[in-house]
Amino acid sequence: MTRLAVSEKEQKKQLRVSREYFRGDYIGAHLIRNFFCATAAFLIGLLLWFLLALDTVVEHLSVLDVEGPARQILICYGVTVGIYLLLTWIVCSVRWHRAGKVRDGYRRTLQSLEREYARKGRRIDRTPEPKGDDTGE
Amino acid sequence: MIRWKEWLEELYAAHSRLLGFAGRTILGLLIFSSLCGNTGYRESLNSPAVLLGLSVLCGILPAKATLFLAFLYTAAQLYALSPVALLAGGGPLLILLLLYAGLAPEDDRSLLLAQASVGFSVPLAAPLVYGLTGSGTSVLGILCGTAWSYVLQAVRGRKEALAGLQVSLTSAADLEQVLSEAGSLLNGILRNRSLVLALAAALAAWLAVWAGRRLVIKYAWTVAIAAGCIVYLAVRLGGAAMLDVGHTPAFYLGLLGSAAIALAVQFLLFTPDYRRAEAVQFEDDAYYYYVTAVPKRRSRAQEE
Repeated sequence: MTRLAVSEKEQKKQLRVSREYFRGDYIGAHLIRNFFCATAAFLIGLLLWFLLALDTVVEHLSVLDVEGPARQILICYGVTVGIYLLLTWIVCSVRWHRAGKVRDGYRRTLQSLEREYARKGRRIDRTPEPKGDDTGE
Repeated sequence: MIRWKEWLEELYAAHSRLLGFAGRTILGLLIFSSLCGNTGYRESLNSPAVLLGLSVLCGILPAKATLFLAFLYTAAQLYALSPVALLAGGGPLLILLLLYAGLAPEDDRSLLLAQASVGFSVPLAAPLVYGLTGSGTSVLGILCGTAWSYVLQAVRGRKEALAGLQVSLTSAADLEQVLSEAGSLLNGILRNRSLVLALAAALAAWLAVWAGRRLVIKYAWTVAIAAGCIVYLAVRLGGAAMLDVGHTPAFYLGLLGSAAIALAVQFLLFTPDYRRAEAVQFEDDAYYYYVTAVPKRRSRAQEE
């Protein structure tokens, strides 16, 4: 009982993850959220790169040569977001796996508690009822 | 010492909420003091009352909100120096935070503590402590926190040039100066060899500690701390020779300070008594067990 209470308190978040989400939902939600994070980070990085390489950017714009740089930027974006989402997938998979282990441990403890209760119940059933005083009958 | 630790444990068991809040507030104070020491461009934000108020908020708020608060504080300080400093210094910080926040666990303060440890010249403290106690993702926090501190140092290095520089679009000359300063600052941040070296050393030290503390050997944590220190020193000295980066005597003092912090954490969290270790064998319905049981070190009064 105490062990159950402790594990419920200490591993509340992991138990919640494995109780409330399917694996695909959990990873998918994080992938979507992190896609937006990575896109925002890339846009800020792009803005800073413009500041660093303003001369080159103006040069390309003045001769209307935007196709090549745009393609490079898109490739960079794809690679950055791809790597970040791969990392997200790995981290979330590991977290889900660990949450599953915590849930299994919790279930085992719960089952052993149930068995313990069942054993105690049987012992109480077998205990003979105290005999009443029959002097008055 | 052990008796003192037991007293501390009893105190924590009795007042866990209050002491948890106090601990988070002290950590917040360390974090904001370090940020203030690394920036300190606006007088009103440097006052002890503001730092204390922010630290109390850290005690109440969750870790990610604390991170957001620390970023706002840094941004306000950078803006006080110059909008260009905010743009060129705050931009990389925002990228780091966005990428980190997506992967970090909810209650992870490794980024802010790594930033504070570099700020207080004990750069190895965070890799050692999180290698001993943290999860695998805490290494991201350590790397981002180290980078955060170096970005602020780079801004401070160009303080004179940036002070009072206003973003003005009224004349081409002004705009050119602003862009040139922003470009120089960004170059200084991105091509900072000290930053690369610090990141490589922190990563190597964290890996050594993380792997070391998992070893099934006696004194695993102490061995891990020693390995982390040696690896860190080797990478820093080797890298310094290759990249031509110098080290001051304060660096070695910082190394000793970091090891002392890690040993203090070890004392508080992990004190096995290896002399009384027992090897036990038993079995149940499903398994045979071969167990080495190492008792926790206890004071004589507690044992009796």
